[in-house]
This record gives sequence, C-alpha cells and structure tokens, in this order.
Amino acid sequence: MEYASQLNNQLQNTIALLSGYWPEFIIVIGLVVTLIIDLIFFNKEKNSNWWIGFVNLVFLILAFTKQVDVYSYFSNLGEFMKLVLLFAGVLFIVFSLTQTHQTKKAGEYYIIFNGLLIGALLIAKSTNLLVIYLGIEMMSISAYVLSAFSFNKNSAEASLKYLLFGAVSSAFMLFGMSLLYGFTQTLNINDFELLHTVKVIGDLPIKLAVFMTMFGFLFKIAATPMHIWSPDVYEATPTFVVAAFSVIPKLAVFVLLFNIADKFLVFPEVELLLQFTAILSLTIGNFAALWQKNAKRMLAYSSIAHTGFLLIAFFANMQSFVFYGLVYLIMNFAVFGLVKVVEQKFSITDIEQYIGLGKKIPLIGVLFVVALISLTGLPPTAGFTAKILVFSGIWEKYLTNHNPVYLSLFVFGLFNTVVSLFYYLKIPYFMFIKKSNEVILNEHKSSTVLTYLIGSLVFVLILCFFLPNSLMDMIYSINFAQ
Amino acid sequence: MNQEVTILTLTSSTQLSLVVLFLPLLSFVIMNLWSKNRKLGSYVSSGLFFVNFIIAVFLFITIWNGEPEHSRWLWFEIGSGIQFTSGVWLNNLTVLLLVLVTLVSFMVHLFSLEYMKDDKAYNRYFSFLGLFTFSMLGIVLSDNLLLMFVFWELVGFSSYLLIGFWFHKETAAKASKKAFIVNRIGDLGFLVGLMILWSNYNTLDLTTLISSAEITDPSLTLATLCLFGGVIGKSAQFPLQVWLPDAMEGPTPVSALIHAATMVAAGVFLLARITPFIPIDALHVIALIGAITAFMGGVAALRQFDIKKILAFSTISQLGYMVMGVGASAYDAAIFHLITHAFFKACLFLSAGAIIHSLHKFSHDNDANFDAQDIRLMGGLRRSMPFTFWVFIVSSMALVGVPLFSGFLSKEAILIASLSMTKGWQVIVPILGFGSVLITAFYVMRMLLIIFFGENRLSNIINTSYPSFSKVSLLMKIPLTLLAFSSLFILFSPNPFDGSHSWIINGLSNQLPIEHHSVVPAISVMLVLLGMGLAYAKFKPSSKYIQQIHSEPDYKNLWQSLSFNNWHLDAIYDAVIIRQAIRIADGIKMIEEKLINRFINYFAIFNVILAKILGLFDRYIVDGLVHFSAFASNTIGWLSKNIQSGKAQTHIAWAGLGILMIIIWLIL
Amino acid sequence: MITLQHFLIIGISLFSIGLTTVIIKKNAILVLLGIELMLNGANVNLIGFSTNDPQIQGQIFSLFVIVVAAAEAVVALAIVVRVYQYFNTSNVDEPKELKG
Repeated sequence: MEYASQLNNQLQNTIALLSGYWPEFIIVIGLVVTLIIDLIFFNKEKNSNWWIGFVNLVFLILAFTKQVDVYSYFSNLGEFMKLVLLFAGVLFIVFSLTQTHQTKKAGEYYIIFNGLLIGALLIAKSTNLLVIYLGIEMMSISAYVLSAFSFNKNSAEASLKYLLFGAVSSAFMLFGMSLLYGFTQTLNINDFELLHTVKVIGDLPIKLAVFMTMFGFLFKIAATPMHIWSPDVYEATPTFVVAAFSVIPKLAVFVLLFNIADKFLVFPEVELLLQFTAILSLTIGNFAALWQKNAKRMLAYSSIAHTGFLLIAFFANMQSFVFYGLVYLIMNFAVFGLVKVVEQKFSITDIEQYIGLGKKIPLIGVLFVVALISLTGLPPTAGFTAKILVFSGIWEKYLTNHNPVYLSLFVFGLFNTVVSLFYYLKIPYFMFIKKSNEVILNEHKSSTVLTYLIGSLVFVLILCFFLPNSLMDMIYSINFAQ
Repeated sequence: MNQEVTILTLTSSTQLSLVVLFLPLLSFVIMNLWSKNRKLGSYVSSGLFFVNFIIAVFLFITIWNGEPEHSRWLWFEIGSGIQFTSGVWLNNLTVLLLVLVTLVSFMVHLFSLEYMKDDKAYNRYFSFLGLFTFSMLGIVLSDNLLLMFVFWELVGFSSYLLIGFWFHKETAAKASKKAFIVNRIGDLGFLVGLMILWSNYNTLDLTTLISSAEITDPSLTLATLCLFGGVIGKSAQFPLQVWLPDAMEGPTPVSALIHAATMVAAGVFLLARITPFIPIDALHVIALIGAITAFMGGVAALRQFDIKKILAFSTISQLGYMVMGVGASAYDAAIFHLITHAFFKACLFLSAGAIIHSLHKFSHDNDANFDAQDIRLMGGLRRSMPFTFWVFIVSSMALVGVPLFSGFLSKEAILIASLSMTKGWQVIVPILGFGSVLITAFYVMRMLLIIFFGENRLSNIINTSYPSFSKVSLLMKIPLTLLAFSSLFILFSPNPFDGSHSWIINGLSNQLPIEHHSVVPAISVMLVLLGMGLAYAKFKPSSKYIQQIHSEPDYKNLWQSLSFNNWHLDAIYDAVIIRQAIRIADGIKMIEEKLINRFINYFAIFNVILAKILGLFDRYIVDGLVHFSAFASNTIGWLSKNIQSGKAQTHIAWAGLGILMIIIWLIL
Repeated sequence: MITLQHFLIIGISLFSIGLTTVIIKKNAILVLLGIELMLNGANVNLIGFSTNDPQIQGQIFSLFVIVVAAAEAVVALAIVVRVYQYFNTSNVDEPKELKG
C-alpha cells in the first residue's frame, strides 16, 4: 500500500509537470497523424502533397498557440525561444506549402522536419545531459536526412559529409558527457558543482570534459572550428531546408548555452573558448564568403559569421541576443526565400548569373537589396538595430569589467561588419549595376504567394527599424532572472 | 501648448465603418493575387462591393438623424506631447456619402463586368477600382485633416492609375500625367492650409477645430482659402479645371466613377466638412469661383462634338454649382446636389459608355475606322438603342433641371441660396448661376437632338444602309435602370417642385429649412424652356444645320473656338506658365554653364595640383597599407576557403586539429 | 577485480581507435564502424562510472546511446547507398564535388 500510494503521488506529479510539454505532445501527435495520412493517401489523391503539409501546419499552429499559454505561465527565456522556434517551424511549412508541386516525398519531408523541431524544442528546455544528447541527435539525424532531399548527386555527397562530420562531433560530445557524468555522478546540469569537483579531481580532466561537450554544441551552431560541414550542406540542400537549418538548431543550442552558462562558464577558459570561437567564426566566415560564387554557399559562410555575432550577443546580454536572434530568423528566411524564387524562376544559384536580373524582376531585386542590407546591418533595417544593441551591450560589458577580450570582440565585430558589406552587396551589384550582354534565361513561373510572404518579412524588417518598441516590449516581457 | 488628446474608443458602428473602408482594399489585394481566373476574381470583387454597399446602408440606417459616432486613437507621436490622432467620424454627412460612394462603385463594377470583358488587363482594372474606392472612403471617414490629406493624395494617385489605364495610348498617358500634376498644384494649397491650421490650433482634428476655431481670425481666412486650393484642384474649379476633360481618356466606367462619386466629389465633401469654420470672406471667394466655373464649364460644353467631353464640361459646370452652394452658406444644398448629380451623371456616363461600346463594336465588326465618340457621326440612335435612349433622356432631364426630376430639386435649392448674395459685386454670383441654367438647357438639348434624333449619319461614311447595333446586355441594364430611377424626384422629396423640404437637406442642416420660393423655380423653368426651345430651333432634325453636320468643322468663328477649346485655357497655360518655366530653366542652365562651370574649372585645376602632391603621399604610404590589407584579407579568405578541400575525412581531420589546437592553447 | 580504471582505459582506447579509423579508412562502412567504436567508447565510460551511482543513470544513458547509434547507422547506410548510386563507389574520398 505504501508503495502504491507513493507511486500514485509520483504519477500525479509527473502528469502535472507534463502540462508544460503540451506543444511537444501536439507536434508528436501531428507527426504520427501526418505519417498515417501519408501512408494512406500519398500519391493516391491529386493534392496529397498539399494536404499533408496543411495538416502538419495545423498541428504546428496548434502547438504554437499552446506554447503561447505555456510562455505566459513560465515567461522565461527558454519558453520564449521555443515560441520563436515554433514560429520558424510554421514559417518553414508555409514556405514549403507554396512549393508543393515540387516537393518529393512530401510526407517524409514534413515528418522529418517535425523530428528536427521536437529535438530543438527539447534542447531549448532541458538541462539534463541525456535529454540534451537525445535532442541534439534528433536534430542531427533529421538534418542528415533532410539534407539529402534534393535527390541529386551533390545532395547525396553533402549529406554523407554532414553525417560523418556530425557523427564524429556527437561522439566527441558524448564522450565529454560521459566524463562529466563520471565526475559529478549526476546527469542534471543544475546539480553540477564543477568548481567543487576541481578540488577533488584536478582541473585538466574536467576542463577537457567540458570542452569536448562544448564542441558538440559548437557543431550544431556551425561555429569555427566545427563549421566545415555547413557550406557543402547549404549548397546542396533544398533552399527552404537551409533556411530552417540556419535558424532552428542554432537558436535552440544558443538557448542551451544560456541555460548551462552559470554551470559551465565558471572556468575562464570555457568563456575564452567561446569568445575565441566567436572571433574565429566571424573572421573565417566573412573572409571565406568574399570568395564565393554560389549564392547559397556564400550565405552559408555569412551564417557562420552570424554565429559569431550571435556569440558576441551571447556575451553582451540576453535582450540583445533575443533581438538579434529574432531579426536573424526573419532575414534568413527572407533571403533564402529570395534565393529560392530566383532559383525557381531561372534555375540559377550562381551570383554572377544574377546579372541584369534587377530589370527583369524589379520587385525581387528590391526585396533582395533590403534583406541583404539588413544582413549587413545597415539602416534602415532591423539588422542595424540588432547590431547596435549587440555592440552597445558588449561595450557596456567592457566598461564594467575592463576585460580586453570584450574590447577585441567589439573591434572584430565592427571590422567584420565592414568586410561583410563587400560580399553582401555583390548580389545587388550584379542585379542592378553591372551591365549585361543580354543573356537569355528561361523564365519559369514562381509562386506569387511566396513573393508576397517574403515581402511581408522584409516589411517587418523595415518596420522593426522604425518601431523597435513593439519587439522590445515583447522581449522585456521575458523574465530573465530565471 | 501640449493639449492632451482624448482617445475615443471604437464603437460597433465605427468598427463596421472600418470594415467598409477595408473591403475595397481587400478587393484590391485579391485582384492582384488572383491573377489566374479573371472571371471569378471580378465576380468576387463585385460581390465584395455589394456586401460593402449593404453594410453602408446598415450604417446609414443606424446613424442618420441619430447620435454622431466618433472614434479616435493615437496615430503617432513626435517628441513629447506632439500627438497626431487618427479616427473615424460618423455623422449624417459621412453616412450619406458612404452610401453614395459604395452604391456608385458597385454599379460601376457591375457595368464594367461587361464593358471591360475583352480587355487584357481586366484584373488590373478591377484592382485599381478597389484602390480608388478605398481611398475615397478613407477621405469620407477620416476625422482629421491630415489623415484626409493622406487619402486625398491616394485618390490622386489611383485616379492617375485609372486615367492612364490604357497607358499604351499616348493621349491617355499624357492625360493621366496632366491630371496628376494639376492636382498636385492644388494639393500644395491644401498642405499650406494644413500647416497654417496646425501652427495656430495645434490640432488637425475636425471636431476640435470646429469647436475651437474663431471665425474672426484672419489667418483662418487664409488657411481655409489654402484648403480651398486643394478643392480647386480636385473638384476641377476655375482655374484648374483643365485636367477633367482630358481625364476622359480613361475607360468610360472610370469616368463615371470619377465624375459621380469619388474624385471630384472629394473636394465638395471637404468644403462641407470644414464649412463650420470658413470665415465669410473666404465663403464669398468660394462662391465667386464656383459661379465662374459653372458658367465657363457650361459655355465650354456648348460646342463639343465628343460625347464624353460634353459630359465632362457639364460636370465642371455642375461642380461649380456645388461649390457656389457652399460659398452661399448652403452646404446642405450643395451636398444635395452632389448626391443627385452623382446619380444622374453616373447614369449619363454609363449610358454614353453603352453607346460608345456598341459603336465601337460596330466599327470593329465592319472594319470601319471612325471615332466612336463623335456625335456628328451618331444620330437616330433612338430607334436602334431605345433602352439607352430612355435612360439617357431621364438623366439628361435631371441634369437640365426639369421639374419632376431630381436635378431640379437640388439646383433650385442652390439657386435660392445664391440669392442671398446681392451686395455689390456679389450680384454676379446669382447672375452667372441663372445664366448657366439657360446654357445647360441649351447644350443638353443639342446633345440629345444630335445623338438620338434625325437620321443615322454613319451611312454617310460607310456603305451600310442601316447599321444595327448590339443589344445592351443585362449586366449593363441593371445599373442603368437603377441609376435612371434615382434621377427621378421621388427618391429625394415628396414634392416634385420643392426641394427645400427634402430629407437630405433636413438631415444635413441644423437651421430651419429655407423658405420656399416660388419665384426662383418659375424663373429657372422659364430659362430651361427658353434654352431648350432655342436649341430645338437650331438643331431640329429637319434643320439645315443638322443636314450638314457630318461635315461640320470643329469651329468656325471666335466664339465657337472659345467654347471648343475650353476658353483656350490650355494654350494660355502653355504660353504663360510652361513656356516661361522652360525659359527660366534655360536661363539658369546658361548661368550654370557660363559662371559656375568656369569657377569649377579653376577649382579643379587647383585640385589637380593638390592631388599631385597627395598622390605622391598616396603612392608610397597609403597604397602600401592598402596592398598589405588586401593581401592579408585575400590570404585569410584563401586559407579558410581551402580548409574546405571537399573530402569528408579531411574535414574531420581539420576540425580535430582545430579542437586540439584550441585545447592546447587554452590549457597550456 | 575490475576497477573503474579498467573501464576508462577500454573506453578511451575504443574512442581513439574509432577516431583513427574514421580519419584513416577509406571505405564508408569502415568509417561508420569507427563511429560506432567512438560511441561505444563513451558507452563503456558511462557504464563504468555508473558503478558509483545508485541510480545507475549512466547505464540508462548508454541504452539510449545504443538506440540512437542504431538509428544513426540506419540513416548512414541509406545515405551510403545513395552515394553509391551516384558515384559508383563506397569510398568516402571520391565524392568531392562540393568544395571551396
């Protein structure tokens, strides 16, 4: 009897706790439902692609609304970022829905994306090593499959490379985790007393363990030196999937970094590692981007550089990080969407082939200019506001603790912003300024709805520059103390 | 002076009015997105407009003669305390115009379904109609002058789009440009007026202005006259009426929309909105301008041969009446005339459109090339297009102001009001007003006789014995019938001879109804009869003039030339303004070439010397740095790029090496 | 008596052997085996450490790792088959069209 009532209590507690996990449940249910629909209807109905995506979208939106409730209850950073991740998921599916006739194996496409999203949501919430590992693996394995979804030679090659690299780095992370478990005898990061353990074991093994774990995280945010996979994958993967890759895992792992910061960053070396990574990512991302000829590959390097900026924002303060993350999400979806539109219209992704396109498709051209200006971080776009917030945050940090590393973060950030101008403006340069010898391109139809969607995203970018208050108010509703 | 702005929350009526405002915009968006199925899209948008009309009628029933509803919210804030509001103000005037605009807009949609069905840019046309209506509804609903100005400009812009709808025709492109530029000149006045009002009262909110403006303030005279400048542009008053005849280049249903319910009505509506705080001196100027416009428009209509031009000049003339009415402190009568005019003029334009449509089709079918709008080539249409004939007759009678028709009621009301202006020079106002009645009767009768009576003159230029025209389709008939019915007295006043007790005037004015005159109707009916009689004498089918009309030149003497060329206003503007402006521009260009360039040359030589010196510095010191940094950036980029060898295992090895290096660097 | 030390030695050996295999071997299957070895090295560690843990969380963790590794192997083999279709080789060195 004693045991039974105890068990009953525990079950009750568990169920009560689970109410915070409704969004994840809904996505899982959505995943299963999509799977079943896929099995029954796929290729039997005419519009099965569209219906599968639509059903999935409905579940995601449901999860989103549920998450709004959860957030209003907890209102901490993790729940807020989950909201953002779900928003990115909705955006991805809406984008994909505009291309249903082209999506191959639509059912699997959406199901696997849902897997990626669940992994991201788990990471954003958890501080348990096992759950973190499972979340990261869920994201990674889904990502390996998704990166093969172009169904061509390049895509197969990219996914193989991605898989090998990812598996090795997750093995590194797992090994680090096993050591951490051994040193602390617990999987819950909140119970870690690393400084205390140092006295018993000595600091080298622990730092090694922390480092190895960290490298697994760095792999997911594509920060140097774990960035090498990303250009190949970005180039060969379907463009919308790239947009999702560049945002969802990244933001999720950053939230994880925030969650574990007070336990892991007790060592100055770990902090230094991240700062060093930030500078390296910025420099390598930006300089390598200067050389690129393929728009998607260039954006891959640019997103490596943006990881650097996000890391700087991580060190500045949470508010500026959240702002930067949100703006980054919107600009990335906009710019990859535009790349997709051009790809679909003229089947080109090389920047030099963009020559003279500004006259043919002026609307797309203008949207491109605004989105790229925002990525560079110039006014009048939200990218500028975000960069200002980050830089002023890091400068304040420097003034309070006089750590020269913060100064160098600041200087490198500014310097790299200038460098990035050169490659971002290459696209408008080719589209509008460079004279072309009338290359005749076959023009296909592209989705008008997609253009309007991107247009509204770009509009938001401009709006957030002029009226950043609404966004800031949302961000200040987060309780950062937790 | 930071006065706190009171925020007025939304009521159900104002929310509904916002729906009315945004439905046309929705139609605009839908028609833009929905480019695939042209038929369905246009039916959906017409459906939206019908719904819109129904909502407007519902609003009308709730608000009319009831409590006005006003919602206002903070729009934006500059610095601290300088607050701009926006909002919706529903009173009798608003809901009346709301019904008018939505109704005429809906009619035009219905008519266009048939009229435009073969046009390539069918969807674009309907989407522009939506935008146009949206902007006009915005003017009607907004509760402050700034917001109104925004929509005012939108109306200008969308009219530009619609007038230049067939932009591949050069005349259409020119006409749209002209309308746009002439309107801008007027809008400059509007803007200056806004600035003066803001600097004096710190608000542009209409209700606040009405309650706080002191009628004796001399700056107010200036401000309202500046606002009137905007009206002159938009409502085509003297001296800016030149754009309206050219605006005929747009599709005919659009002309109906512009002339009846939207664009030109905006000016009169603005005057009606601000009339409580227009000082008396400004009112006199307004009345004078209105009377002059009425007269000039009427005279210009006398010798036109293009059916749409006749109607255009008659619109100018009628707008002159309305403005004159406002100037004679009878804005209620002016709005009354606006409403009746909207119906009969829309009807006239749409039936003219039906005539042009079938003539055009005829010329197309028979490979005959002639101008489908030239009345010299019409004649005898009474028999071939009986339906259009009756509709046209009804609405023309309303335009002339024959008793039993709506135009009579409203025109009398304005004329009666104008009789209050008899002091000194003001006497010219009623004189011109009555004179225009005579002229109107004359040119309308002329138009009717030439178009519908006598023999068909087409046979003079092509070899068909008796041309048969296509029937007017049902989709065109419905709006025509409805509009023609609305041109009868019955809708507006129970007494066909007395407009002053009409429910519109009762609803709009707070003062007691004007005394019923019996002299004024008598005089004007006599004038009408005189004008029609004179016209009949000259243009009766058996007259010599009519027999020769198909070979009649545009004009033969000075007076005819004056009328045909609209008082030579275009030529005068060309000589006085455009050519002078070009001359001044040339002069400035010369000054620049001779004077400024020379100075710049010397400056340039100096610069070259300086540059030589700097160049040396540059070559040896700055360039060195630049080359170095370019080299460095290239090297870094090249290095980081070449880590990417393409082999999976090398990647892993590089990453492993990176990890190792970082670990070693950090720990050691 | 098998002590923690033995566990750790085996764990780190497996891990290192796995890493070496991944970098050196050319055949994709062998590379995947190397990855399995690395994961199992971590598994051995986890199990070894859980001897001191009354809740044996480490052992549970290692069970999960095995499942994940299986999933990963499935995906990996599928991808290798794809690569084989396009490149006619299971050599991980051959596909090198994406670079720069």
